[in-house]
Parts: sequence; structure tokens; C-alpha cells
Amino acid sequence: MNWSLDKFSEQFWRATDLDDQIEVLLKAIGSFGYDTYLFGLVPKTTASRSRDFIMISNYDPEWLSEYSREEMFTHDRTISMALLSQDPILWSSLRTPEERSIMTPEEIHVHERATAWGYGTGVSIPLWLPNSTVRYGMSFSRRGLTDAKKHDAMFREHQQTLVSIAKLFFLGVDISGKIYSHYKLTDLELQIIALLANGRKVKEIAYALNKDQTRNSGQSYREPLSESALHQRITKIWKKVGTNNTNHLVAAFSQLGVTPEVNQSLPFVD
Amino acid sequence: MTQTPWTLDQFVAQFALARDLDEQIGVLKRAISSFGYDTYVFGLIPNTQPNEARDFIMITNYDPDWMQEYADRNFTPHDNVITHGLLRDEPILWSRYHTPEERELMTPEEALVIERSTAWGYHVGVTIPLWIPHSLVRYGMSFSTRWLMDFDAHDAMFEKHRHALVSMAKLFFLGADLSGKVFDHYGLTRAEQQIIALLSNGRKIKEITHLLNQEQARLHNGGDFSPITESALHQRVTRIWKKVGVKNTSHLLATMSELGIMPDSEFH
Repeated sequence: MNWSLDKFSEQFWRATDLDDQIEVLLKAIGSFGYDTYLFGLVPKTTASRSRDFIMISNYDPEWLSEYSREEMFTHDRTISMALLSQDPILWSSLRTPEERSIMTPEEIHVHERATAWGYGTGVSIPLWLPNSTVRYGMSFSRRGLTDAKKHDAMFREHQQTLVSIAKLFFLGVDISGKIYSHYKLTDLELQIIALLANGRKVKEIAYALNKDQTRNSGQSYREPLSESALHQRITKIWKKVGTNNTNHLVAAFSQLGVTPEVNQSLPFVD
Repeated sequence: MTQTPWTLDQFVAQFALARDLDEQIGVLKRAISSFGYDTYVFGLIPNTQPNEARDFIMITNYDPDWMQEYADRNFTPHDNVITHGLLRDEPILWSRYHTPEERELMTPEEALVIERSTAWGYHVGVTIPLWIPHSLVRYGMSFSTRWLMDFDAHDAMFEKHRHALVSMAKLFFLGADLSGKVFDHYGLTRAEQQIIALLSNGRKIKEITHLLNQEQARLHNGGDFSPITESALHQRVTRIWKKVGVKNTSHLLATMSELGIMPDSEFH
């Protein structure tokens, strides 16, 4: 029995954390015959660097590691299409001769590998925020499903509901934790980013972090940070996030909507 | 409530059929009226930076005279619903502004806004903040009912249908195209919108002058027309800054892109 949008909305707003929200999503799309989802975003932090792709999904971990090892997102046709248009992309359209004739060999390879892993039939729904350079998208599929005609007919029949489920998930989900772990940022580094975003100077930050350390000594002791050590630390953060300087770093997090929160108990001298 | 409340599926099916903002609003109005509401406000505040004059762009079916009073008396900075909506993302039931505890916390100006909106009959309702995490622009949707329900009846109804009403506001928010309203708000003409589009593509004044004159020549099909000069274009750009309330072109483009309404680029 296909879920109504009301049923989804009611259960989704009741979910208390990301895991709960994903569980509701899986149940909802399960009622339409899907068992696989992917929610992803392309931060577009720099133009020169290869694009980054952050996602949460329940794809087979081995397929995901092949995908990220070979940086397949740079040749993923569904992603490049989702950056250009807001219309849902039925994956079957990637198999038509017209589409094949304009796909690069790398793009065909990604599609063929996905199909080999059983992810050949499904749909990708671009999710755009009007004023953002960040692009989001949601894919639904069923592993091993090959009857694309049947899938596409089902999707068209329930398109409004499925697109709206994707939109409500998108507006309701907090994936900041996923983004921090994507960039492999430690708690200390997140706190440094938060303080930089609040306009604190390196000198102030070093002072407050060291003072805080002495205050809470005992647990997880850390060597005091000199200003130059903190500078090095910040340079390391730029590199992790793929930015060139602090302004760029702060802008990247604010574009993603995931600027970390300042620990209000830090002892600043104001 | 005489009608069965719309389901969300009903709402999205109808919303998908709407061809423009007016039709989208029509769908919204019919949907909320099934919950007993007769009034909506969808608003956005372009700049939430402190120290800057706060602009407030809205689409609504409030009584125009009330809107006039609201604008004339500069109620926006003292509107508690807006101030609170900027700070939180949970729905705000308007009934809270009619409790003695809340009244005590209000400034005289804030109390006046509540008093006047109540006199106009807009005091039973709810505001749903709509946030985009990374944006300085704040959006919100209010639903209210003029003399149809009292506080208790409304709040009970809202709690019962909270998820559907919040989802409806969010789906409207993601689907509505407000660019026309924003241009109207700033009083930008088609020609000015085109200049903004050309500026946003990184075109220099000299190039834009050339492009505009080329377009004029094409439209006049070889006939006579008076070409625009670079200094005249400079003046027009300065006039656009003034209309939008910005200091220079990069500020203008940043404001437009924050609002997500960069006009169509170049010529068609």
C-alpha cells in the first residue's frame, strides 16, 4: 500500500534524529517498491578543484568504495544532469541511443558499473534551493530491478508524492555531522572553524582554547597551542576542506549551512 | 470547519497544475480554507544583518488598508511575529501574544502592533518560519482566520494538523517563483532587470551599452532610434542601486543572488 504524503509528513516530523528520519524515508519509499536511497550534495567549493560530492545512502558499501575510489561522481551523468535541470531523471533515459551518443566513455562506464551492481533502474530528483550554489539531489532505486518500463510508469503515476517526499526530507534533514565527517574534521577543528566564523582572531582563539584546557585539565589533556601551531592547524583545515584561505573556508561552511556552533563557555576576554 | 481538510497529496497534485504564482496562490488559499483559514502571508526579509534597514517583501491577502497602515507606521521592526520568526524554526501560535506574561515583555511599540492587528481582526493564527540554513534571507508563512475561530479552537486545530500545514508551507516555499514579486517590490522595470542580468554575467558598462544599442537597432529594424550613451547607462545603474537600497554593483548582485532571483541572462 503506497504511503500518502500525509503519512510520510506525520511520521517524518516525529522522527528525532537523522537515523529515525532515514528509517521513515526507507519505509515510505519501500511502499512504492524502492529499497535504496541516496541523498547527496555537490558543494562546489572551488571551480578549479575536482568537485566534491557528499552523500548519505544505503548503497552496497563495496559499490560506494569503488565509486569514491575512482571518483566516479565527476563522470556521473545523473549528477551533471541534476546540476542543470530540476526535472526528475529516470535512469532508463541514460540507456537511450540519443543519450548514449552524447555521453562520454567515462559516463557510460559509471552507468554500466552501477547497473552491474544492480542499481540500473531508478530515478534521481534534483533538489534546488533558489539562492544557493550548493546543489542537492535524491535518488530512489531498487537493487536488481530490471523492468524499467514498469518502474517508470509507477514513478510517473506517483511522481508528485515521491518528489514531495524528497523535498520534505531535504528541508527537514540535518546532515552537518555527515559533512564534518566527510571532511574528517575533529571536534577541536570544528571549534576553531566556529570561532573563525565568529570573527575571532588567531591570538584570541589560542588564548581561549588554552585557558579552557587548563580549566578542564584531567580529561583528554592537550598540549597548549602556540599561535604559530594554531596557524598550522588552520592551514591543515583549509586543506581538508579544499579551500585556499580562511574567508573561503568560512564561506564554504556557510554556503553548506553547517557552520559549527561556538562553545559559549570558552573563556574570552572581551 | 465545514470542509474536509485537504490531504498533502491533494495539495501537491493541485499545486503541480498551477502555471504561475497567482495560480499557486489560488491553490494555497483553497487548501488552507479547508482548515478554516482565510488569510495567508508569505513573506521574506532580504537582509537580516543587524544595523541595516529591514526590508520586508510579502504576498498576502490581508486587507490593503491594514497593509497601508502597517507600512506607514513602520511596524516591521516591532512585529514580534517577525522578530521571533527570525530566531526560531518552530511554528509560533499567535495566541501567545495575548497572554499577560508575554504582554509584560513587550515594548509599547510591539504591543501597538498586536493591538492594531487585533483591531483589524488578524489575531488568531500561526506563523511558520521557513529557513534555508545558509541564507541571510528569512522566509515565513502565516495562516490566520478572521473572526472564524477563537484562540482555543484554532490552536487545537493547528496541533491536530500541524504536520500537514507545516509541510504545505514548506512545499509552497520550495515551489513558488517569487522573482516577479521581488522586482515589483523594488519597482524594477524590464529594462532594469535586463541590465542587472547583464551585470551579473560580468559584462562591463561599455559592453552593455553596445549590446543594448544593438538590440534597439534590431528591434527598429534599421529605422531610427536614439542610442544610449555610456554615461546615461551609468546613471541608470546608479538609479537601480537606489531602488534596491545598495551601495554599488557587487552589493546589488549579492543581494539579488541572496534572494535567488537573478533575472534571465542576456537576450533571448
